[in-house]
Amino acid sequence: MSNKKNKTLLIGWDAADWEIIWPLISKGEMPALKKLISRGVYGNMSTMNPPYSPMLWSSVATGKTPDKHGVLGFIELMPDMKGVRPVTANSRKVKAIWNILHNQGFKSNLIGWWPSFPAEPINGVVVTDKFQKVKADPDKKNPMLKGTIHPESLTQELEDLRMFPYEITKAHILPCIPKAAEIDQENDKGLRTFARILAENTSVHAAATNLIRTTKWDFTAVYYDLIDHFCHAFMKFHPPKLNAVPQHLFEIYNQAVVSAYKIQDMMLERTMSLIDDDTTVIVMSDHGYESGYKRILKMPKYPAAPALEHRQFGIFVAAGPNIKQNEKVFGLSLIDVAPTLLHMFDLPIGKDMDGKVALDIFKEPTKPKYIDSWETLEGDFGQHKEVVETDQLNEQEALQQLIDLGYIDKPDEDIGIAILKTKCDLKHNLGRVYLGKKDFEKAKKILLELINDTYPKYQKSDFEGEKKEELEKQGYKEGDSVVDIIPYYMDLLSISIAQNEIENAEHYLSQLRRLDKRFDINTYFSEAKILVAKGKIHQALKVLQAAKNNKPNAEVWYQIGKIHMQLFQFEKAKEAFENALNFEVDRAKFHQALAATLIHLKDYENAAEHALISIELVKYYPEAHYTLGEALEKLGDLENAKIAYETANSLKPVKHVKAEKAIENIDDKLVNKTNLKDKAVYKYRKDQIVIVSGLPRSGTSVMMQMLNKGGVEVLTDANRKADASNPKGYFEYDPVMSIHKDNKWLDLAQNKSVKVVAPLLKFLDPKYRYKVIFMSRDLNEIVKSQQKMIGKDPETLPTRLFETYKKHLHQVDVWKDKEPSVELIYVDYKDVINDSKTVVDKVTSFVGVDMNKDEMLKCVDKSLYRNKL
Amino acid sequence: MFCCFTSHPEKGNVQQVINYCFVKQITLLKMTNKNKILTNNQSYTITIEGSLGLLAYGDIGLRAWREVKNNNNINKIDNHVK
Repeated sequence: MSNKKNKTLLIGWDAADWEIIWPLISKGEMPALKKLISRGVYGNMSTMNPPYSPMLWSSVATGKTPDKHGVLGFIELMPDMKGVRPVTANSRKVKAIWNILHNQGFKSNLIGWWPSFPAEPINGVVVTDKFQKVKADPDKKNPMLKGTIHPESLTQELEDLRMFPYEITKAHILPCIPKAAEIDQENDKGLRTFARILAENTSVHAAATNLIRTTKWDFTAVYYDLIDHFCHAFMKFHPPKLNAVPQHLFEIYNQAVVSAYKIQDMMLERTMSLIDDDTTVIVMSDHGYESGYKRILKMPKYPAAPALEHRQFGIFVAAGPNIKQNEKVFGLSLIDVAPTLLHMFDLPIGKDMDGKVALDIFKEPTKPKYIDSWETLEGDFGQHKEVVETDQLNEQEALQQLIDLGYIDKPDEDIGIAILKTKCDLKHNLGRVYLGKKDFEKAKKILLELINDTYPKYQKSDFEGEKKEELEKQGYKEGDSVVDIIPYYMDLLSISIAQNEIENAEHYLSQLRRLDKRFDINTYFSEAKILVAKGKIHQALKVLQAAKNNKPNAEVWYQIGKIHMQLFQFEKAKEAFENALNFEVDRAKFHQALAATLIHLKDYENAAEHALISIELVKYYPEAHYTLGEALEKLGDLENAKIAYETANSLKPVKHVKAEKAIENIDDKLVNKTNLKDKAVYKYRKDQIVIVSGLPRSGTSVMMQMLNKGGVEVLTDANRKADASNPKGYFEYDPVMSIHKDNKWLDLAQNKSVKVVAPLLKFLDPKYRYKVIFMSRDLNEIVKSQQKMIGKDPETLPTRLFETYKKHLHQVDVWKDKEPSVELIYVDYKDVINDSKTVVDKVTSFVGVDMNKDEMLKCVDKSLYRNKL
Repeated sequence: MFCCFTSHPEKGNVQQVINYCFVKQITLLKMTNKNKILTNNQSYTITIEGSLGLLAYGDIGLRAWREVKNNNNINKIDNHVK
């Protein structure tokens, strides 16, 4: 089975981030990685939510999301339910790439993978993530646990490749921490942390280089946590200096993070010297790491909070015989790695895998093969036959490391509470996985179970003795629930906003604010979104501006910009998006939003430029392609606009209805190039909805009547009866008034007509086609008619109402140009009365169906034209 | 390019020079304030303190360094015994 051409080396650099790497490469300080990039391809690697490393690396290994592979956190319950322990391979419920390769006769080496203990009996060698975990105390023994290495016969041979923290010397320290002599080691554990991390990764590297050199293999995967753990320990000291960081500590540790990258590159250099050009090499990370103004100095107190500093994009580099050269690749996700590896070994991909083959990286891509699932195949896959027990005592140091990193709180001494909390954490993580996949119903089910469960409370006796300090450090007090439900409410709040369930969102927000605040929760974004959903746009803006004044940041500027867009305040929106970009220039969504704004400001060239930057940053971004299409269309470049719209349409997981309509419009324009300015196309559109709109008292009811008599069915519930103001009836439909909350009834309006007043037009669902007949009337006449209707003096006209109505008309005009699914004609009420025949001809031609024009004309009653000027 | 393998343990000498025989070109990056690339065909002195380059070299570097440290300890014991 072994084929030289398949040979693949996969190197994992946890948390490696291009933001640190590129400057180092340009200074010549990462020559090995630079060489690999020039030989191959590179790009971003998109992480998943929640960004917890054992979950992510298990997704890399299986091609599946955590709800499928079963690794749901940093710790797991022990099989005998007698405690908790760092997560092991026992938690994984599906086959990893090395299991499949074993079954197919390939040989794999696996070193340091998180999690991989206990070692699976595969064809090859497994050095698990237990290998490098040694005790810091030189007087303590470090026996190798059973299951650390497979085959066990290699234990003696590899045992001495473990490095111990006490072996670290100043020769290792000073290049990374030149001022190490100034460290107050009584109070500052920095050097101990440095020594432990470096020793562990040296152990992994020593085992990896040994196996690469001395064994025959087809696939080798090595995992290093050097960069990630250095970042957790020292990123706060990385330049530029954060205000709250003491100067002397900044001067001591400011080179630590960069030194991790350089050491990793040196290790890569050595590894590359051990393989030949027929071997494909992949270097990747599972997420990035914040190194700018978003670094967190005071970590909030909820589980795995340090993952807040993980950035969305990690790195991906690949080079090999069939890999393209010196090219950037896009759209890669962690779940794509296993399918891509399978494809490289000419093996089928399971249809139950969530990832796809990254065909873009290959010089000569071939068509992937598929099977239903590797899980249902019989045979030997090198897996454990049963759950392997481990010794709890040996877990303590490993647990302590997770505690020191801040990934977990110290487990409660009460085993029952520790188990309960772990169960809740794992369940919550599963909920967050569903939330990340936008499977809101599954996420909600889990979260509601979590908040509705009853939990014991901490008693006075719990705060006695040694436990007191630990509990208080974690922010607990007497009477608190042992399980913190605040994170569950936070996720429920996110879901309810995403689903536009505003009442629920308000409830969850008030619950969050009521519950004891043991940590800072920024709820202003949620508050603003709720206000926007309730139509209280100006209040939402005030909330965001207060947040911006308190702590300006990119995201709050972006949200402010979005609100200005909704208010049609495009200059202010432009300023806000530009401010967002000043903070973070490489955010695709900021460029896309600015591009969309510039289109409104008729600055089409700059709009196109920003849309292109957005696509450059995130290639598979349907909205950015759509915005580019809009800009190009306005610039008259119809052919390329069509390509952009088609790209947007093909990228969206569900139909991109706007892009579809835009493509149809472009096709019409390309056929009738002289008609470029005509918003209305005088033909029937399949399943169209005819909308009669206008300001109140502008003649909408008479137009509804004309359509009704003409043969177009009217969608009405006839709740509002005819009266003196409208003797022939209103033809209204009550659900229209709450269209901003619920517009699902629109499917009933297809091939019918329905009245929708002007301010509500923007809530029409773009997935339908609309023929809008907009009734226009002199504003003075409109206001006069309204004053009379409500029993006020028709000669006294409130000027504020004029301004409001002018704004509405402008908004409709902007909206109609922007929405490809909308065609609109203006019909003057005066013309309906005085030139009915022309109006009827225009309307019937616009609607595009056969209508009874004579009956339509009979609807016009000149005696009802009152309040005319 | 390769260097000769010789081992010269000297009694009472706390440093040993070990030259390794390699079949491929070696590049060791010595971590000082400036990255220094040593050209091939040079011997590299392994000190008791070791270096990041040795750790980056993997199993061979780690074992070579430990051998130097162990030999130094043997020498110390021998000297003590004397």
